[in-house]
Amino acid sequence: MSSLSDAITRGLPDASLGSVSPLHGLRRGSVRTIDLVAQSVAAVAPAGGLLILTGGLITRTGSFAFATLLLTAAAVILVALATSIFARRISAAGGIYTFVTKGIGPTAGIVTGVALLLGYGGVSIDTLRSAVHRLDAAFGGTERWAAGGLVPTLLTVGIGAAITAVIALGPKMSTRVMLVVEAVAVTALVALSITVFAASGWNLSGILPDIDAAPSLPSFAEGIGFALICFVGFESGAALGPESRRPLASVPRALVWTVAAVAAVYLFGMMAQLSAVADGGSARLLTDADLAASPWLDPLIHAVVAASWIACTLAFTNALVRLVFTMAREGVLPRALGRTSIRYATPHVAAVVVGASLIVGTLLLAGAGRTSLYRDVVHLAASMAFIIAYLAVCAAATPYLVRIEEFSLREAWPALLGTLVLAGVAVTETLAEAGDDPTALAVLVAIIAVTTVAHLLRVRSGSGLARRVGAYDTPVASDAISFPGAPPTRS
Amino acid sequence: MSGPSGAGGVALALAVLEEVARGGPTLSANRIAQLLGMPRASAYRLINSLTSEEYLLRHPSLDGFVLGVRVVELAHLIAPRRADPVPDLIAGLRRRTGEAVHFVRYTGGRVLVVDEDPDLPLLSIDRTRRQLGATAVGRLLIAEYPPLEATTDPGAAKAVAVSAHAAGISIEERRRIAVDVSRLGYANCIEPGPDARVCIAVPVRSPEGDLAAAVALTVPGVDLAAAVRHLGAVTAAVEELAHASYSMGSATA
Repeated sequence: MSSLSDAITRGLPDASLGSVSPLHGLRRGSVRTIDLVAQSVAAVAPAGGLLILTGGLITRTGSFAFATLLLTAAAVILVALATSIFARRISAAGGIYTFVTKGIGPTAGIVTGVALLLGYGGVSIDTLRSAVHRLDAAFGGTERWAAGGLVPTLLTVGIGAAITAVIALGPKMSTRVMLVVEAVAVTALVALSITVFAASGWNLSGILPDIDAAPSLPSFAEGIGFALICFVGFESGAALGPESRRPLASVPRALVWTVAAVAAVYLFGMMAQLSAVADGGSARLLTDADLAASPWLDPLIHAVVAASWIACTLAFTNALVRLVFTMAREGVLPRALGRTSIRYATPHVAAVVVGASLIVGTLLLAGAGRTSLYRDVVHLAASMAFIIAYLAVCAAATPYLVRIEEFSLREAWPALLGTLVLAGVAVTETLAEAGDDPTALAVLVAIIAVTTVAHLLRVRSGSGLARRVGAYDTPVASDAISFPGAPPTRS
Repeated sequence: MSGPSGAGGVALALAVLEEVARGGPTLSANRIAQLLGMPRASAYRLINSLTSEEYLLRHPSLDGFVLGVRVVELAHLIAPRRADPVPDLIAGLRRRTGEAVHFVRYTGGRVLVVDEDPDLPLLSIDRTRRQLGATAVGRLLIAEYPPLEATTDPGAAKAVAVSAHAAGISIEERRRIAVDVSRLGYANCIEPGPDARVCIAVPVRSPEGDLAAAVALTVPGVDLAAAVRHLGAVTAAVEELAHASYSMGSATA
């Protein structure tokens, strides 16, 4: 018999593999590709992105707004392809943190990990605050939030607790809720875009850049940085990899689909808005005149956007919980955070701790008011952290492929090109931020630097942490059959 | 990616699984590509396709791969639905001759051992597959692809040339083997040493005349005549086998 048929006939478990995965306790195969897409799409929150994108880009880059979006979409697709290099090979709840650790080691890994903790945390807090603000507005509140009234506080606590419960009860439930919310929000906005596009006569003149009025390089980079924020979170689907079916096939697919679909929605929505601008209208999807004409429209839009922000908070918190869970399993964070619920197979302890932090963080943000260092740091984390993480994952992909002896230019080129593009964006964004808000930048850099040094001291102390970092869902003995030359096992 | 398509893709995928089954978890993707003589980029794509479908799993600490339990499902999926005539015919031949009988198939210039005689097993499966000059089964394969001659299956011819070269068989020797086999209509081999045995291998050919499989009969000792006296019985079994396999519309290979 051939070695293959011999192995099949014997059908013994492979004793060279461990009996449990480092991420044991999560339920493998419980979510589908559609859930991964839902997680990623909800984190990106394209409805919210679409509402701010055109205006924000025109302010920064003028007639180059469409070109900037196109370039950013291309850059994010490069990041998605670079992330896929890892996702095709490793199924990790830690997502990009684990990928970077596997690719270029624990130093870059922890920088990315801390950046993502701050980024996921920052976005969760900021979107929950926005959701509460929108809900308040939808039911007639005006600026009550600024005063930190009772209703917003109760809404924050209530939504935060609900999000925690949904995450603790299981990923499938959370992703299905998010999918419905995002589907409604995006469909509504695409329908609105089509109406605006048609009303303004499908005018495409606005998408062509006026070469004579080119923005300065820093403004252009700032524009790319701004547009990039509208894509962040697409990578979070990877965090559900260990719980999905055939993650090495489904995660890369989900990441690339999400980015492509979101890019398509953004580009279409922007064309519609630019058509309206060329037609002499406003760069907003809805003008004050529209709102005055249909008084029911305003609360409805607030409610849809609030739902979209809640789904976004849920998605980012979900990814954050799995990142914290991974770090706890490695021993980077306290071990207790790595426990899983036997009944629901979810990292419920991490969910409760992260949920409580989310509520406290959001209430602090509300209490801190419009001009506080805390608010600036949260906002900066929500953008800068992702630029760091995306740059790191692009930079880590090629060394990883070389190390496992699977480098081919055909697979690695997006990562190589992505590294160059993201490095450019990172430098210009840092310079812009250093001129704009040096204190927040210094705080962010200090948090990352101090944590990284502390982590490296622990890794080097010989506590075994060096072996455990980069934990992912490894195959176990019962997943594999041993090869005929393997020492016989009798158990 | 959509995965391998067409017979070539499936054959390659199975060849990758076979290499992993043979080489164990230290075989890197790069090494598998070398062993199969495939371009690296295509090999990586194929291997990633197999890992994403969980037929192969990446070993967490070693550089290579292990077979996923899904290959067992796959084996059940592609197992012949009809009763396979081969086992009965081979068992009958073993009974009639009272000697050890092996059955092998040839795919892509490689030897696939299908039914090894339990009473007198092959000296080594690996040797049967790689040391083509040292066994009757291997010599049939060498004779099928004489050096520098036109062939309908250049891929198989290349695989044979590479294996023969690796086993240190000269072009001259390959020609001699081809002449011998074509003169006799079968291949023979004498294995001296402490485990001495003689062997004859009779080819099973497809209706197009391609070498598809072989029935080999092995007798302990160094007297070739002891094996050749069963030639009639083996040839009859081969004819019956070819008839049973091909008149049913398809080979089970």
